[in-house]
Amino acid sequence: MLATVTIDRELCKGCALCVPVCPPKVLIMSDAVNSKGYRYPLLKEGCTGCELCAKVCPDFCFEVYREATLGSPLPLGEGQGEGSAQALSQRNVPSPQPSPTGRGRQTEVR
Amino acid sequence: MERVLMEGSAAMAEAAIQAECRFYAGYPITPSTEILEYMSVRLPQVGGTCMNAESEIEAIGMVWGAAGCGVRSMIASTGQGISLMQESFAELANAQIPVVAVNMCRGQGDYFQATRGGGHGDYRFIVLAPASAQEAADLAQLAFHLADKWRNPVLIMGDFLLSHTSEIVTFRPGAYPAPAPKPWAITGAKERRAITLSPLGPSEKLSTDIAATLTAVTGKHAAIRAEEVRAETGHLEDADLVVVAFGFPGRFVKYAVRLARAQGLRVGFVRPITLWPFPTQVISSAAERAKAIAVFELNAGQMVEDVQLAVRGRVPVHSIGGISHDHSGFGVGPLLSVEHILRRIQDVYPRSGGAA
Amino acid sequence: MSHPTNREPATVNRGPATVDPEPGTTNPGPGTRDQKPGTKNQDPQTTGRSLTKVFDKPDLLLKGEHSLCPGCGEPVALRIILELIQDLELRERTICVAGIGCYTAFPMIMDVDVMQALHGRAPSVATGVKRVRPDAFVFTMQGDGDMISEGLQEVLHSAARGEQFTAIVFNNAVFGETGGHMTAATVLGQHTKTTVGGRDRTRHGNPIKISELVAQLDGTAYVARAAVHTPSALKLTKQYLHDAFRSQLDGKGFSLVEILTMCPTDWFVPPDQGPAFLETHLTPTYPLGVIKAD
Repeated sequence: MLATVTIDRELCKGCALCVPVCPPKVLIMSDAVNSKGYRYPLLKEGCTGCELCAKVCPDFCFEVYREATLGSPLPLGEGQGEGSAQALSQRNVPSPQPSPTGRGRQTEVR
Repeated sequence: MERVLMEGSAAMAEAAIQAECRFYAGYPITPSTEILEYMSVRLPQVGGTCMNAESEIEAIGMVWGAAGCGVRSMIASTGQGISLMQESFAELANAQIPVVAVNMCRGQGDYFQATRGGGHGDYRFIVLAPASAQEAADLAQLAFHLADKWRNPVLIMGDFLLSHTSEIVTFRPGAYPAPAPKPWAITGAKERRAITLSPLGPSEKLSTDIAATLTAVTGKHAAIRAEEVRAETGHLEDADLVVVAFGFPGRFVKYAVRLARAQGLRVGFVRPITLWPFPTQVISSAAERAKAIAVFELNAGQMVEDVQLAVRGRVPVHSIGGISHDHSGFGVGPLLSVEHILRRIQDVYPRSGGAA
Repeated sequence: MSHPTNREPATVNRGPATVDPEPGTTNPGPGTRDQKPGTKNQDPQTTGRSLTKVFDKPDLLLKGEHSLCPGCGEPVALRIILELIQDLELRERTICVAGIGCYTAFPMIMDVDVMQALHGRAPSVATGVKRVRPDAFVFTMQGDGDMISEGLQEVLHSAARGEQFTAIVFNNAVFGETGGHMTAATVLGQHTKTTVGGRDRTRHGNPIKISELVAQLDGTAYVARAAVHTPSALKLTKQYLHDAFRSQLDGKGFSLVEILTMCPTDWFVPPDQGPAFLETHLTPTYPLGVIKAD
């Protein structure tokens, strides 16, 4: 699917948290620096629009674009994307969940 | 208008409710506890909320939240509890949130705490000192009015006798205008821009002008001083000795002054009703005519400093009060007697052309 | 937007997102070069294909720029909170009561009403707010130093009373704003400027697990612990916050969500090591999961 991101280089503080979370590994940090002296990410070919970089970024640098083909999630504002409140409400989560890392003890619910 | 027999605490609380106070939080501490008790019964009757908090600091926090939402809110405590609340007091003033606080003091040793700020930073509370249950009711209404008018906390100073003495009270609902709208109040951003209410910065989003915020807190002091001074005076036109006293002990002084005058002594009195802003001009004028000033207060000498500032050395200023406690420690002790005050007046009365 | 807003125009520093292809490599595919924000890219070779924006910072975030450190987890948590308020259409009812910490920089960029409280004191202020405005959606935003050190009494009493607000704590196990000092949540072995060489049980005592503590109190309806250091943890954060918000909206009682956040500056690690440090140093003491749900 066609996808890309835009990156606000001046907001970036060079933390590089986006680089390892990108599944196709299409983000690399620049050699150049922005006006504050931070390196920023550059995008290579192969972005899938998975949104992970945008979600982990502490500085709101990313906008994510995807091709709107049949069956793909609707654009912003429809409230039906994965992780939206509507989607969360439809999940069945009344009881304690195991830790996602598989570690840590599970405290008993009273 | 209804006349009722009520103790000072209850009169103050009832007047607050009539002034549309709808939130109270407090912690039991003698001699302020009766206000908490009265509010526990009365506030739910008028759709308000009374919280017995788990600590004084949590109580003032709850009042902060309610008042910050635009609801008239009140808290009462005693010196030690007021000490605990000082951080919040200072920052309530910085956030310009109107609250009415009451210190039912043990003695009068909390004058500095009340008028010098007690907490950190540059701020003042407006401080009112009633001397009777009637005046407690009247000043409670005034307190809410002034707190809203100036967006500044107001503190009412009472004491053990004021709290527990029952007197005839006439309530005057509607003595002041109904509360005005509060555009600074936090209510949820319905059909308007979102705002912040903070002691640390302005109300507008995307702004960090803390200097302007703090300057605004003190910028209104001059206007408050000009407009809100209140004092009761007597016999100043011929007084050679003027006695200054505040609160319930002020009534003892008034009576002692009457007895002194009956003995031929030319004595007058000034009873500050606002401790801040202090009636500096009233006392200064009295000092131009009188030969000496005496200050009666149940502490080691606190208001006397404000009196000295007003007098500026023109005439002698005598402290004729002192620390006065009985075994209870609640500040009603042997010095609070008309006979004793009269003797002290006689001690310092300026005789034949000079200071005593 | 239908309501008046403080929102600034979008920043305009978005440069081209692709690197120039090296000589000899194939050209980047259609749609990925010179992408202008907000535009749809029509490629004449593949008729009918277009790009639509699917992710942006929340509308309730007035500005992307903030003064917090590189790699800080708190803005990530803030994003999720604001997304949820937006999704649940709670903006007009929301009152946030903020504590004192690095996140004190947030109220000015949040498009909801915020009441700024003192260090540790947000729960009592939130109590007053919710008692006089029971229809408001009220949450506190606090750090571990604020809630678990200074304000432990306040959150415990609010929970026991079953106050109908949601307390949110950003737990990075350190006093960040003051420059890296021990809080009641600092973990054993963690180096800070006041636990030099590592927190030691004998000299510095033991960390307090606020979620487990609060969960023991009657009056608490929902308690969960999440984190923002991995994509799957982010999902938990959003789920748990959603469930806590629902718990308040359904009038079930006090709710608490503890969100472990990265503080590489005061963990004394490079920003990109924050997530790993959180996983190895914090989650053993603070396991993720729902601790109580009524």
